[in-house]
Amino acid sequence: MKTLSKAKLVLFASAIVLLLLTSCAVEGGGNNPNSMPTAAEVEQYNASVAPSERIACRNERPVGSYIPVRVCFRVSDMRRVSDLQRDELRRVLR
Amino acid sequence: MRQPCSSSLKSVFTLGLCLSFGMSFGQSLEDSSESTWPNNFQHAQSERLVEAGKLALFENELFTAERRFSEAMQIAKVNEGLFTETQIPTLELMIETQIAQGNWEAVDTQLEYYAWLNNKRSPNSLSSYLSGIAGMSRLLLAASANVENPSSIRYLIASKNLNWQAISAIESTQGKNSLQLAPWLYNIVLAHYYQSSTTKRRGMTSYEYRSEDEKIVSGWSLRKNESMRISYSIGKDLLERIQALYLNNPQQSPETAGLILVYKGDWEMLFGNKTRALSLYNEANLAFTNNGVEQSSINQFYAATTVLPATKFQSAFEFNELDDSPIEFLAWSPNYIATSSPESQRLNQILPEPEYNALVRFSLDSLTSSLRATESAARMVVALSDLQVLSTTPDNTFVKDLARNEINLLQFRPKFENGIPVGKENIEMQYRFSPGINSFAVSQNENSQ
Repeated sequence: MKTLSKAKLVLFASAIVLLLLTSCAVEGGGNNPNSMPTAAEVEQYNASVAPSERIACRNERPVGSYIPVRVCFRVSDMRRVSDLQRDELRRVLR
Repeated sequence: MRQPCSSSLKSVFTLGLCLSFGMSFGQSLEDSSESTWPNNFQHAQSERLVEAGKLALFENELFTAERRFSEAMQIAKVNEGLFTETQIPTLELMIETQIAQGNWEAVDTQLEYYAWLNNKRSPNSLSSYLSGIAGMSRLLLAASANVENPSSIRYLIASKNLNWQAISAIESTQGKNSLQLAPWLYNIVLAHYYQSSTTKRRGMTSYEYRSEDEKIVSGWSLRKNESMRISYSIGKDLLERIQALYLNNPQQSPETAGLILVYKGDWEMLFGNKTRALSLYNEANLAFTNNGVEQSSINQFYAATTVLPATKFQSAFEFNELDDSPIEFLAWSPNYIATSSPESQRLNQILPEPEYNALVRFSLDSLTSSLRATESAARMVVALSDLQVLSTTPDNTFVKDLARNEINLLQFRPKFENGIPVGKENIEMQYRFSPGINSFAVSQNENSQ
């Protein structure tokens, strides 16, 4: 009885670990409307909109983790944030 | 009473005289316009100007040629309307002339005009819209290949974007499973290979060369590896999409499934994934035989020496007549090392003749090698050996060395016979160097010193 419960525990723990690992490895795109777009989908979208409306995606490792996540931004937003941070840095260094 | 009468007679007489003078003057004016004043807007005049422009091109008078083409377009617009499609062939010639002159500002302006004109076409006419996209894409690739172009990648990406626009247009009118999508998807696969091949060039690591954006956005520029990974993954996705399009399609030939697997194997070879490549080529050979393709046809398909990437997408075998003449290879551009000129570029009307040619002979050994004992780790290797430069034009050591360097960079599709990789000996190739290689090689030498 004791052995059985131990085996169950190991099985349960393995299932949890597997679940966590697969959740890290999920690729974008597919049929799920909430998933991140694939690189090809991003490129097709970018070909049909104005340069400032384009989106750029890349894999980034968030602080405190080694597991990269795919993040997408609008180019105009990135430019605005980039300009803002540069101005702030200049203001602080002045 | 008499006076008014005589005055009215006088006036009638004067009026008659004036009228007769006027009529005779009008008649003489009409005569003179027919004989001495030519109609500058006759349709035939437009054709004459196009011919004069082509003649100027032949004599390498590019500025004169551009003016003639521009005048011909104006006449076409006057005669047939502002949006007339008849001006498009002349517009393409004019843009080709501007590319040859390196007048990038004018090229951009005229390409914008071309795009505007193409969007004015009837929305119901998908085929004419797509032919316009193909025309613009061809010109953008030509601009990208020009060795003097300081931002060649910008034009390559613009050409790729046009192919995406064509795909969006087909998807919205014909549906997402239309077989019409396949060649456009393959064009994008090729564009990604060209984009990734720029990493082989010296000094091509900066952001400006890898993007079409004018301004650097911090945190956005991609590293070389990341850029390569994205190109590889998009190419792989698109080849899988082509495979899905043909799957369960009654129009496919027995060879289609195998051929698409061969293209997928080629893609893996190009990116150095040799284990995956071997497995895909094996799958392709299995698909050919399972679909009832005769073994002799499969062997004949592999017997042709193919430099990767194949420039044309084909869904069925197309065999050329066998002869003993050397295979022809036209290198595209020093901007895209070790790549064959795309199919569309062979339509360019003012493509300069290559300055250098070399006749070479070599052998290819298609073999599987394994670093470990397991079969799953086997890799596909195509090794070039016994390279001999038989003759060159001009005949000098510089061109011979150049030929050796460039041919060693080429990647070939492996040859299979009855499903087993085999070698091929004494392949003769007429290697036509890309136009502009002379000036490019000299500048590279100067930079390295």
